[in-house]
Amino acid sequence: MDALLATLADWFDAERARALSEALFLLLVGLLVARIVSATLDRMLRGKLTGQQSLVLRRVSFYGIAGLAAASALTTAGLDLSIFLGAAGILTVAIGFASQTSASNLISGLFLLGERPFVIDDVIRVGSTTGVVVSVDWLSVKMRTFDNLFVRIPNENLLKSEITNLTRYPIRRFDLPVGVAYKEDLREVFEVLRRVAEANPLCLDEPEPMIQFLGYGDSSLDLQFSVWTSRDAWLEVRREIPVEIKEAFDDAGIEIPFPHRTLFVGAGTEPLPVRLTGNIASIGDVAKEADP
Amino acid sequence: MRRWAIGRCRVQIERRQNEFRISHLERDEDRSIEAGVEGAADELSGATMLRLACRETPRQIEVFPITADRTIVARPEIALEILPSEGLTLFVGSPVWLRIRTGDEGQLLADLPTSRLSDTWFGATTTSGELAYASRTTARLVLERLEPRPDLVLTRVALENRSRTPLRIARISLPSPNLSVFSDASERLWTEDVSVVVEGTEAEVQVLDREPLEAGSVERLSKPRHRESSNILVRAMSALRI
Repeated sequence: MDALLATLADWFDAERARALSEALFLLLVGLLVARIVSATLDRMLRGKLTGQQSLVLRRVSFYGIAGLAAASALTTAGLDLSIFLGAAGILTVAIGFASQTSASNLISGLFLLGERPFVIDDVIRVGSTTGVVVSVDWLSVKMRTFDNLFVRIPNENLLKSEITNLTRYPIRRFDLPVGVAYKEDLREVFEVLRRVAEANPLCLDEPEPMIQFLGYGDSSLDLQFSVWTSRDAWLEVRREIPVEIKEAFDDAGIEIPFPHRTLFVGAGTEPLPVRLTGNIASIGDVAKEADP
Repeated sequence: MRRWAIGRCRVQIERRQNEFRISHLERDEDRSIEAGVEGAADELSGATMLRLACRETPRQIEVFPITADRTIVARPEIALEILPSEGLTLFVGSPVWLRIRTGDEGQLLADLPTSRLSDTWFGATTTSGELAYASRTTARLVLERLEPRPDLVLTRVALENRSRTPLRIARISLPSPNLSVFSDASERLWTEDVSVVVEGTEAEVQVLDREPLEAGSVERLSKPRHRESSNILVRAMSALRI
């Protein structure tokens, strides 16, 4: 132990102590400068860049300056950086094997940055997950769902998946399936739906609302009513239009049916008769028979 | 408290020591007009109310008409066609907005439409274009046939068809934010004249930087919301949809 302490004392002489102190000082100053520069750049360019570009700029500037400070500190401490170059080759192979997934995510992230299928604050759907993009990072994209859950999706998965950007374009169509009873006059139904769209100022005049006949359903005539609206008003239209249609149908006496089942014994027969047997005069008697 | 009634629009402004209360409502069809009538506080049933607070409310406010804050796409009730190498003049009416601000070009308090128009899309495709308002217009060829209305501002649109085929006018796009509002001797509201020249698939829309020709002596009531160059844009035929 004494020998170890003596060795350390020999090694850690005044000159080395000074060099280490300088290196530490350089590193701390470098980190501070990196923080200040990245924050200043972000403040200066805040209005001119998107959220995503601002995030990339902050990180590149911070890690760039911090990296230079670290290299300078190591050189000041007396370390020969060429050692790292030598070891880097071996390390690269090892890291390459170990980080295939990370490298794939990184490269996928670069492709996503180039393609820009979405930016920060866009609402996207990936598989069954729908949410707001909060950050686009080197290895993954982070989203916040509408019920406030945090979702991390690796970039590699995103590149391979179908991504739906719900807020890319300024206007969006809302499709509502509508069923009416078979007895209704379809022309009158179309007219009522057209008036509902016309009365709601959030429904765009153009592109015009559209009514499509989908088919003769089991219990109803199936239609699709489509209206266009601005993307900001889409949720409000989605909430209001079904209410307005119901009110308009009620006013016009148009029935929205529920599933019906009609039983036939044979073609054109009367409804099945029901007859109570024995001494049972009422349903109350049936209960007494079952449980005396 | 003072109130304004312009067409279907009802506005009530109440000044308190530290706040303005502005109530706004659209009633059923009504052509009445009242401007700055003084009265006791009277709640408009179902009105939307704005409350604007400040340390000390100024004593003076200005209420004046201004054009819409978006392009208005006016659809003539009956479409018409212009023959090749021909031109015509239309008079298109569009709803006016009311701007309320503190006196001497002070703070903007409210910008209210006299009539809530339906939203519409103005663009060649659903991916590029702009949100606009949709309006129906009689698009009269003769000014005298237009009934004066206090809530409408008239625009004289000079259309010229330099194409070799007839030009069907299904919609007219008015660059409302780029237009001023003038008042003539009979207190009818006007904007600058607009010229549209169509050649092939291109249409050139220009706001003529002068007082409206047909209005005679006018007084400018408000400047344009946006000051663009007089030759606003050249749009493809499909985008302009004239």
